[in-house]
Amino acid sequence: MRTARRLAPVVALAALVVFLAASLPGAMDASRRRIKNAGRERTLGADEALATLRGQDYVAAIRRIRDELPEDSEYLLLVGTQGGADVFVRFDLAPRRAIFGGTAADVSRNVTLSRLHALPAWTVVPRLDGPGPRLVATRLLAEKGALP
Amino acid sequence: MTGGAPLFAGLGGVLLFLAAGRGLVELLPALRERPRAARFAYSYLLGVAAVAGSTYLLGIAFDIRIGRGVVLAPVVLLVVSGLVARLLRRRTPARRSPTIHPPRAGVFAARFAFGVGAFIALGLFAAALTKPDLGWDGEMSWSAAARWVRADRSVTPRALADARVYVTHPRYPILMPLAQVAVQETFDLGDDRRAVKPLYAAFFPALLLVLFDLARRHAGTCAAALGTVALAVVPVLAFNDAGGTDGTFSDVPLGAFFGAGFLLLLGRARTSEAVAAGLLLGAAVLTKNEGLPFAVAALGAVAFLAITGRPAERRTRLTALGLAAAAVLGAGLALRVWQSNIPQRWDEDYAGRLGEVSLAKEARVRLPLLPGAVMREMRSREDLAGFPLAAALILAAGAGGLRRRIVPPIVLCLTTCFGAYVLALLLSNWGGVEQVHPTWARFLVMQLSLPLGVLLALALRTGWRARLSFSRKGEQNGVTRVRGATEPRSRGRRRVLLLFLAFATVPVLLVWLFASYRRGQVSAAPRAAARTVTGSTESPWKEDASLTGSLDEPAEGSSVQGSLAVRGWARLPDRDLEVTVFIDGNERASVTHRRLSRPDVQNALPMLGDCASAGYEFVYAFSAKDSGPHEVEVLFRTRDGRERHYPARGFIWRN
Repeated sequence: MRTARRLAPVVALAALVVFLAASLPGAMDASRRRIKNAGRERTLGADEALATLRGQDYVAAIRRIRDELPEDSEYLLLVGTQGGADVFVRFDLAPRRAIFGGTAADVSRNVTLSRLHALPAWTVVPRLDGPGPRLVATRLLAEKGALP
Repeated sequence: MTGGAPLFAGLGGVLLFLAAGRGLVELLPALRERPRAARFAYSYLLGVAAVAGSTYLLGIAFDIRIGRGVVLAPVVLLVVSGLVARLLRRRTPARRSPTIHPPRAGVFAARFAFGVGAFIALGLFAAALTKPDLGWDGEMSWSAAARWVRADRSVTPRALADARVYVTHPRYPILMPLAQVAVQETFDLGDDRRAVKPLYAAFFPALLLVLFDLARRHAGTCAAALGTVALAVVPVLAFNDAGGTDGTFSDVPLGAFFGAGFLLLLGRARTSEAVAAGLLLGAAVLTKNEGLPFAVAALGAVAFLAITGRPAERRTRLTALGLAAAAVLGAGLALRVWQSNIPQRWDEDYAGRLGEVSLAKEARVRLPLLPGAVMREMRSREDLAGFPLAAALILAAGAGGLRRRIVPPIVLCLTTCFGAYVLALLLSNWGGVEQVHPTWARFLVMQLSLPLGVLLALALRTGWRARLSFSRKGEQNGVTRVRGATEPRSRGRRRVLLLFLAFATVPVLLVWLFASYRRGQVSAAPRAAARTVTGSTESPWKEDASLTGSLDEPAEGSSVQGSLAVRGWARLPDRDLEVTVFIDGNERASVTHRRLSRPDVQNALPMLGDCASAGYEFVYAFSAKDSGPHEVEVLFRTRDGRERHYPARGFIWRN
């Protein structure tokens, strides 16, 4: 019992040593890789850097929508089929204000000709892959009752 | 913006807050006398708190238009005040900080910790300046709020105040988004995401330096350095883009403000320390919704120390407590006023659900699932890398070092914070305990890192002393003696009883955590294999055969050459299911893992709805020892605690 009491504090130190032996190399390697990558990507501009994360098509599509919609405007945002698409697109279009438009399947209910006067003129359909997010005239959605 | 601009703006932003905070530290003797590295850390935290906090409060009180002038005014004011105070002080003899003579081992340990922390911080800054990833919550809430605030030049921008606008968590406090705005306004930035990331990355070294400084007061240089390096290498703190400092989440800033404020109040309770603590706890309240309950927990724990501590110190401690409480109250009231102008939507709204849900009923349903969910998070190698097991061992084995008078208030505070976490879980509109997955590591390692780190350092202190007694019996121990760091003994039955009560919960929790962790580690593989046969285990997950899904590849008895692709789908009508793959009963690291669109499933089972990500694909690399027959099993899980073990498939794997 007495020996156990004497040994206990050393066990604490040993636990730390084992933990550090297991975790320290990983942490240092993670840091080293980031420094190395930073050296490679240090000259990228804002759009080029974003393209490494989301792809060229996405960045180009966001640029087109930003050019079309003034900063102080509202747009109807549909919920993306891919997880997070609406969140990421909403951020990249901020400070433009998104009005919730539901899912693409809800368009026939949410976007009707009778409601058109209360809706923003433009609708954004978020997508992370392929051609990226799309800008569609809300009137067109209301007339067709579905995504064109 | 070109690649060099975020470097200039990002580092410039850090220097902006450092300068403001340095001026403030010059006005606070207790911090001014700290070692240089610690002064930098406090300067940064106080700089962010003062600049962003003053903008927030002025915006709420006077609806001022936020611009470069409003941001720079407090910076200039604090820098000038600091310079004047410094000049005036030159006329009077300087008061020196406590003399510290760390042993050689302590110097080595401190240099080792500094080197490790500095290298990780360097990697963090390198990533911050080049990688535009802000993390999910960063894009969803924090950085989005900064863009809306900056565009409208108001702390209540139209996007937040207009109930029609689609905003997630509109009532989240915006201290850190305002810090982003301060950087963007000062350096006239466009929309380059990278320019604000160093602001968050700088919290990592600041947190470590504050931990080292505060732990050293109580545990000595060696133990403080070891505790600091242990925390530095926990992956979730630095390189996790879902809450760590490699994104724009507010969890680490909250942990730094709250932990530093709380631990400063446990020190000698000088007035200037209390002012700094009040500012930091006030900043915590304005940083995240958790800040207010955490700050109240901290004040309660300090009150406990004041009441049960030495009678001679009681008055000083209560005065310090009053100063800090006033700051917390002010910040809390300001936050309440700000939130009352913002319509609630797209949020968990815990406060709103408080009167609506039956806590007893929720506790009956959810609490039995909590230990299992927490243990799964604790076992996460990717996030915690064994830190919970190591910490539990260190605290249990080094319990002798926890017989210090600052320990009961720390335990009390941590227990109260855990109580707040559980209450939020019970009130959550997420199903079951699914909220544990995205929040537990952030709660434990980011938000509570400083008090936990001090406990670790105290526990390690006994180990360090024991090491000396084993190797050089009878020699003086190697722990730095610092003024105010003397070892008090329990005095009287009341003290013993209070200490026992304060400790009663934590050892039980630690033993349980340790036992559960061990059980999970040792028996995970056999259990996974056993499940395929019996279908029943002691797992808290409930087997539910109605969970729809399939394992399409590999086919039964098939021969796989080279890489193994495990494909199928798993979905309920409203959501995709989580999928885990076991090969011969073991979870194995996959080369790639992705969710796939399955229009064929959607056509066959229209009631499942959109199957854009119902499919799954895990690809595993072949290694020489894999040659031969194997068995693959997939496990489907819901977020509300149900699971289904899909029947195992046998296949032959060869190169």
